[in-house]
Parts: sequence; structure tokens; C-alpha cells
Amino acid sequence: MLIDRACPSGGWNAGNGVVYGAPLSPHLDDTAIALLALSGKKEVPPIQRAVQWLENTAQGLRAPWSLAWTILALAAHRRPVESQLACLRSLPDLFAVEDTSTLAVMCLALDYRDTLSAFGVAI
Amino acid sequence: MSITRRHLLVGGAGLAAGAAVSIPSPLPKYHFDRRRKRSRVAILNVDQYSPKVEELLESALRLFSIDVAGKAVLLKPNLVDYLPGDAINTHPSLVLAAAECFRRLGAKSVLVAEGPGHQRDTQLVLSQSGYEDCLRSERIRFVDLNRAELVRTRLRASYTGMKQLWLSRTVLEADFLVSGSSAPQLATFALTQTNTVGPGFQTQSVGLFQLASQFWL
Repeated sequence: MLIDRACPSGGWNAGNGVVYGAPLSPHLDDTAIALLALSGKKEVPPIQRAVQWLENTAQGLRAPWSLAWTILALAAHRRPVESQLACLRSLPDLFAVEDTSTLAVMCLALDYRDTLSAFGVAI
Repeated sequence: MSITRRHLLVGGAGLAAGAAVSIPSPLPKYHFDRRRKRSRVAILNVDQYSPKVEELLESALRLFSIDVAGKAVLLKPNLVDYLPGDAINTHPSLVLAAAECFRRLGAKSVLVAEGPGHQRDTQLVLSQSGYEDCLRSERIRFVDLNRAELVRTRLRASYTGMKQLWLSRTVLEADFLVSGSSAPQLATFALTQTNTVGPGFQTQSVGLFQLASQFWL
């Protein structure tokens, strides 16, 4: 089902990739979460397109929630994440983040090796 | 004394009328229309984003004779998502201009709050749409309504069958709500006075004004 719902440009949003014949835009967090779920299927073309889209779109990304999910997903697909990690560490106002779910996924991303290992994802 | 059918009819009608005014109605006592007889709407023409927008906004607000002195003002700009090349959000310069106007009118505080219904990552929408830098430079606080604290609020009427709703504490604590929406060539601001004194949450529309332009967005 996830493969079927992929956006034509690569990646996923929260619903269908195409509605009434119109292609919809993917979202970073949805794409990253789908890629984590599909980390064992790296050779499938829609997944490769999604990884490519995520890598391209994540350049210059400064939003902690999407950035953290992106780090986890790219690492699970054995892509370099050092630049994204450096960006996450250097974000201003991190102490102002009040949302616990954002803080949690940021912590998981900063320690991405152990996080993925705990979920059985080999990197 | 004999009781005739006429006596019975008159007595019964009197009894019914008395009961109607003395027995509490099971219907909610909220069946009154709070709308003004005539809505207050202003449409102002503007040809581009410039410092003139701020002047225009201030003159628009003065048309409604609102009193925001000492009040907490919440601006909700209607952020949805960010799509490069598509104008789907209220332009940040408009929101900054509104914030400055309310400050000048004596507002105790002005904050911007939003809970996008399409993009879950509100911070992403803020950074990509240019809001993040603008709000930081003007020291305007932002609250993510999708993730902020909620308060169980009793409803005063039961039209929906629900007795309560979970509403944002940020919204409940505001004295004055400005809900914006933006479409190409038309930016709309709905002005609403809030009242949280007593049980429940009550709002009253103060007016609505639109900025129209053939060059807008």
C-alpha cells in the first residue's frame, strides 16, 4: 500500500500521491517515516526516488521535527547524515522547543546509530 | 355551583399558560441571535506590499472603533502549508504590519498562533514561508496550536450534542482574536472579541475587513 501511495515526484504525504489525476506534493516527515518502514527494501524504484527526494529537499532544512525524521530515514538507507546532524545540533532556540514529541525524535536522531540498532535496522 | 364546559376550557387554558411560564424549558437558554442587524465590513484597496500597508491596516482598524488597550491580541494568519510558487498563506509582512498596528493601539501583548491542518510540521511552514525570521526580528511570540496545551471547555449550548470541547489555552486566554485568510488578490481579517468570564467561552464578531488588490500576492 505504501508503494502504491507514493507521490510521482518521489516521497509520500499523509494520503494519496495523486488525487483526481493531479499529483500531490510529498512531505518530509511522512516520507521519512515511510522510508523507515521500508528500510529493508532499498532496491525498489519508488523507494530510491523517495530517498533521492528526501536528500535533495533536506538541504538547508531548519525545522527540528522534519530534520530529525530525515536523519533517521537517510541513515537507515545508508546515506550520509553528517551535514544534517550538524545542522540539527546548531539550530538556534532548541531550548525553546516545548513539544515533547519533537524533543523525543530529536534525541533519537542525535543518537541515530543506537536508535536504529534498537529497532533492528542495520546501518 | 356547577362546572360547565366553558369553565373547564378557560381554566385549562389558564393552567397551561401558567405552566408555560413557570416550568423550566428543557431547551438550552441560548436561542438568541448575537449577530448585529448589519455586518460591519470594510474593503480597502492596496497596490503593493510596502510600509503603506501598515498605515492602511491602522486606518482599517480605526474604522471599527475597537478598543484593544491593555488587551491580549492573538493573530491567526491561516498558515496551511508551503508550496513553492503558490500563494497559499497570508504574507508575513501583513501579519507583522497587523502586530505593529495593535501594539500602537495599546495592546498589552500581541502573539501569532496557528495550527496548520495540512502540514504537520508547523516549524517547517514557518521557516519556509518566511515567518520564522520575521517573527524573531520583531520579537513576536509564536504558538503552535496543534501542539499547545488544551483545556476542557464546557459548551453553553448543545446544538452539536457535545457538552464540551478541548480548546487551546492560548486562544482562551486571548482577549481579541484576529483570524486572517488569504486568497490571491484578497486578504481578509475577521475581528473577534472574546469573553471567558463565567462558564464557557463566548465570542462576538466585531467586524471584518478585506484588503483587495489586483497585484496582491
